[in-house]
Amino acid sequence: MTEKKVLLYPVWIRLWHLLNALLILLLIITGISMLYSTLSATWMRFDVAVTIHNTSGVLLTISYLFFFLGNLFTTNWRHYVIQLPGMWTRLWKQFRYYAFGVFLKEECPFPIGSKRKFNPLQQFTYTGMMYFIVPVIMITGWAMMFPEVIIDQYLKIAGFKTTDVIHVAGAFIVFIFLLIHLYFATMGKKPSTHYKAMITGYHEDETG
Amino acid sequence: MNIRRWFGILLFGCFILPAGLFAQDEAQNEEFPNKEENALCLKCHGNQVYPMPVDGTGETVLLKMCRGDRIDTVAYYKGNHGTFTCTDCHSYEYTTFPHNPNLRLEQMPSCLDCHDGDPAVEKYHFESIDEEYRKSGHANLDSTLFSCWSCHNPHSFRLAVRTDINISALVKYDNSMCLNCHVNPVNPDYYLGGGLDLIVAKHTWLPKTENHFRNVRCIECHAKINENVLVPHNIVKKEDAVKRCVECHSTDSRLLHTLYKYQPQQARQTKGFVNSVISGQGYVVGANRSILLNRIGIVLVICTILGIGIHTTIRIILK
Repeated sequence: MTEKKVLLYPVWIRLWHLLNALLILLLIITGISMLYSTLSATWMRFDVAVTIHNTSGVLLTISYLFFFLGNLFTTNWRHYVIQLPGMWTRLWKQFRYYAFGVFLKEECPFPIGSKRKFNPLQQFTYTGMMYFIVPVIMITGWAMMFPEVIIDQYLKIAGFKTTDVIHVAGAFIVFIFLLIHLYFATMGKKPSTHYKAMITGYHEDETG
Repeated sequence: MNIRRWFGILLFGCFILPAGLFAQDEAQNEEFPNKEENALCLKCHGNQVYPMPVDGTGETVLLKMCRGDRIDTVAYYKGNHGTFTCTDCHSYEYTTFPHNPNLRLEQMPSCLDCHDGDPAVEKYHFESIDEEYRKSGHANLDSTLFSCWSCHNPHSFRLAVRTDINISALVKYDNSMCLNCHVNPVNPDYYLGGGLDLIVAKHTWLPKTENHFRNVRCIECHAKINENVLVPHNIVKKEDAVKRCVECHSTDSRLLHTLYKYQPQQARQTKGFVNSVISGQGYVVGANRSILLNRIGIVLVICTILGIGIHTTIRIILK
């Protein structure tokens, strides 16, 4: 029996996703290099790290706008709309599947298909990342590129310090998200299934 | 009753209030006992013009006081030498007017003439400052043109770095010493040939140039650190100036040994930030970071990697 395949990831999404992945990787590597810079650390020059980080940040903003407009002018935005009634139950079901069900060879409670591209956990985290964490990181990043726009002090707290703390906290969240994202992408029928789908655009219709 | 009240007000107005003012004046005079003696000099040198008697006529003409001979009296009494009388440093013969022209040739004292071996100022390490200065590029200049006084005006100099002055005010004060010569056409020997724009243009390799200029001093990069001296005085050649960003943007930032050296040691590792002494008034990426945020972040990353490892192992085992 041949598998029914659906086009889950059109070209614009795949291109955006690829660019986004590269930029996030560059931002994480250069960000860590700057955050933990020491006199003896020679694996990346500070000014090089700053230049790559800033350039990647600007490109990420452009890429984000592309993603935002893409969602606005296609139906892709629907996948990011969380239905609040029963949200926690669905999240728990999916979490339980990842924590136990997957080992017990249970069926995925929310199979992927053309109508549902993300399971509830994916939907929750992707929406949180793309519409909250990433914008916060971008805004704080731009502010640090133009520190003159940052308020010097507010309620005795230095503006730049607060901005940096928020930026770094967001970066840690993105880093952890990336690790989990890369791992969960191996949880298709085969470890490579989701990776292939992200390249070809086609994914098996698990809804049957 | 009313008469008593009015009498009280009158008494206060006529005697007590002026007595208070006089007391304040006396306190000031007590603080600056040199004021009266200095007034003799400053009545001319504190002004833009001075009266010069015309020989044998009994008349005077007003002459312009040269810029170099003019003293800002407010800055003088605020400065570190504000308690001195003029003749502590200048010849007593200056008390006669018109001055003897030969007095112009008098050798002016340098810092060490007064401060060498002085136990009262031992903590300033003047001898080490002098050693550092002698190694610096400034020491190669003609000593008649360049001396300690070229940067530290003896009539207004104050120890900005050892006070509670905020860092940006300190940076402005100290950088003005450099800029006073290097962007000032009045000093052709040291003038770099352009205004502030030229200085900015020469530092375009430095990201956020103006931001750096506002927050750090020229000597942070253009002077060699000596731990024995609070403010580095060994000004190096421009080729030897610091150009590696990590010299400042790292946990072992040189700013801790220069700009923030005076801040109390105990303030250096508090408030939950690495090098919090810097983050109190500024923020240097690479040198500052939140200890708590870093710990939480690293623990979460490690937990995530461990979790993935355990999950993968169970998946492989149960395959």
